[in-house]
Amino acid sequence: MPQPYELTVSQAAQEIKDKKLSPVDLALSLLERIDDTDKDLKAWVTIDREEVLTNAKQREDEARQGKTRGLLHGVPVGLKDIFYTAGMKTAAGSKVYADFVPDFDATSVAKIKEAGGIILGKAVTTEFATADPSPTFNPWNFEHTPGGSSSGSSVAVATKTVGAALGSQTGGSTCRPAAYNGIVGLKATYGRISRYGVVPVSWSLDHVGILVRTVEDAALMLQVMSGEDINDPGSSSEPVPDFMKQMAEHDRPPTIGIVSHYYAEKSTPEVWANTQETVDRLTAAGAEVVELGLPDSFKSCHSAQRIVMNVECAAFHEQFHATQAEDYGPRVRAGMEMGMLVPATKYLQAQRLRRQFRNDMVQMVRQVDVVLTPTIPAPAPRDRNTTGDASFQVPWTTSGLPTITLPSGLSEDGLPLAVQLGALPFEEGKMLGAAKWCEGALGLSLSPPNYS
Amino acid sequence: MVNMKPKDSVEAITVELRAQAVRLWGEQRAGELEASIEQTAQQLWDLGQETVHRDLEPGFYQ
Repeated sequence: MPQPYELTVSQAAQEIKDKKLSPVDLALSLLERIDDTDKDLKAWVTIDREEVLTNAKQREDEARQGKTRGLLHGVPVGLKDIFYTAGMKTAAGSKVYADFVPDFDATSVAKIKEAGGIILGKAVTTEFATADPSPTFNPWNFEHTPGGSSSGSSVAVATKTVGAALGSQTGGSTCRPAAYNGIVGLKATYGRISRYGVVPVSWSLDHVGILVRTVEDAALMLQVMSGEDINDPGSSSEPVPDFMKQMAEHDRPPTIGIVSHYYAEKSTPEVWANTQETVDRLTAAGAEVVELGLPDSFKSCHSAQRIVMNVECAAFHEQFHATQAEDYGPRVRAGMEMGMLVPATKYLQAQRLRRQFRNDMVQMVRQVDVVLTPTIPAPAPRDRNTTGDASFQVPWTTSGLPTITLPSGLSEDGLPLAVQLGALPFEEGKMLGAAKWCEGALGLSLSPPNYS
Repeated sequence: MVNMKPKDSVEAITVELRAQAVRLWGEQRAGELEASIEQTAQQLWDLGQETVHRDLEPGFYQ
């Protein structure tokens, strides 16, 4: 019989629905788990225990009466500390926002609450979700980075102090820490999940991210948070399908596109060997594999992403920078200052190149069900002064196409390795089905040895 | 204002960016930003190598 904290989101929601699990017991189990682990890991920054237990008791009373608010009834969820929470501090890992208490919830947070979810607390973020490392430790090896910028959310999910946590991705900030910590990370299509009430890095690149331990949980969280939001100008009016149903329909051997160019050259031999072994296993299980070529526009997508990110970051922070420049960490400050130097024409050229790249990526991905690449060029670096290399996620973020990362094994040093799948815009259902099938075919579930 | 031509070299872009950084924040801060300026110059040069179709509008919200 597993402890409540060990349950996935889907398992916990089902047990609560079946009246086999009390939301209060689940919340207490997670809070106790946090007490046991977080002095070392530093994944959490703000937790209001009284509020958590009050909400859990309310959900429990409702469940007893057979009332269910939605898919997450009674299930706690963690939030990266850039998501607005009414009445709860949202510091974004920064001195500049140290005392900021929003008076409304981010749309994604409101949707979690509407679905019956309980906000367990705020997880550590790197400063303003950029590249200055956070104090969080990698549970697989304390000498290695946990990745970022969603470092607290990823570590919290990997060490089972919560079943699901929200992150964000402007370059690689959801899928990269998910890979470094051996969990599942999902970045949906740009516009699928509202960004309203999320402290921005770059309006046109930011995505809400989902960190969980199974593909099924990723689908569930996506279902809860998807949908048009008039408060987010980048929000899409694309209808929200039944992702669980679509995932079940597509849970079969997919046609997988493999991209060797760039990814093979940039990966360590160990990572590329793991990717090839993963593809061999999926092929043996029935997947069809075809080699794809990257479009010409790929070669400038990383530079376009960086220019767009720095300029938009500079625009957002301009007023704070004028009076509080010294309060910023060195990397976020340097990034925004670089943005202040870029001519407007170059920013617009970068945005034009992004559009070309997205169009070209759609043509490439259209040939298959999903594209598979390694998620990370190397396991988590043995360097706590970095958040790691985002270069393999950047193409998916820059183009706005959906992507999901899955664990694919362990390195010789015992660190997680991962592969990512990407799909056409708004085809998350098909991507989740392929991911679920791959998850089953690979049969891997990683857990850090000291936190199992 | 930074003055760049479409086909400037990385070195020429670096000089322009550094001069603008000095104007905005002084010699000391510009010196601290040297590595970032060089990276940005390289990124801007990369963009300058691409030819976009004349009818292509910027992406912004994808």
